[in-house]
Amino acid sequence: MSDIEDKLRSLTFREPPQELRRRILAAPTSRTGWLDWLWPSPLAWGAVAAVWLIAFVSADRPDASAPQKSVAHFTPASRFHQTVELLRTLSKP
Amino acid sequence: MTPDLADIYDTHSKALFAFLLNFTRSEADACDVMQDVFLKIAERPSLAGGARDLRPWLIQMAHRKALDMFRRKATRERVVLAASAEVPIFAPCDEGDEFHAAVSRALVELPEEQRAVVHLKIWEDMTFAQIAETLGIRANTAASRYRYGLDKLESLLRPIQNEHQP
Repeated sequence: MSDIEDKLRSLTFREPPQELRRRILAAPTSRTGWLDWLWPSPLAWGAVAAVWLIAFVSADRPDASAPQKSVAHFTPASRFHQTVELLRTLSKP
Repeated sequence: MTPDLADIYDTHSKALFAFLLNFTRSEADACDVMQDVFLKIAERPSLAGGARDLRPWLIQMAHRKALDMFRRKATRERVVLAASAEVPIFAPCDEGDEFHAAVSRALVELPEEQRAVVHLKIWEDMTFAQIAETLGIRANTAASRYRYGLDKLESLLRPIQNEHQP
């Protein structure tokens, strides 16, 4: 090691201003909640969520190649209405 | 285990500030970058908890943030650097203030990347491998930057050092 290196090494740098410590430590502390839970890999979690969403949407879409059903659309309400009608018919003498 | 922010600050702030002051040559910029670094840790303590060796990791983050800051104000950079030799970076002492000023001026003569390597080698006592990892360069690049930087410092400081030798 040269004497210049020794000489440089002996120099002491200025210290950070006192108010900087106060300012930094007064900063808002850690976020808690779901963001922290997600933190290890938000990208991976986002990708998993996207895959699930795509799978859900594509599963819900009617298949064009499948044969059309004779009854076009059944909703729970229409099914209930049909059942009521059937019961009413059967209950007639 | 996640270390406490105050503990991290008390342990590493002097070294971090010295690096940033030498690198940015502006007390305001050094403080801004330090605040950014510690804010990041305050927001995500797990970051610091996962860092294998905290000091190089903090310097690495500070270095990146300082470079980002330089890029943001690229048009003003020349002006800042031109004035930066006058920024006192060393603690005042009774003897050798002239040498302090000469070292400060000589360090400004170095390109930023050499100054960073010289700082980490001399004042942080890092190996070239550690410097390379911290600054994102190759170890032999770090070694050659150090050699060039030290040669330049030596050529600038030798006359002053000879003057002061009995």
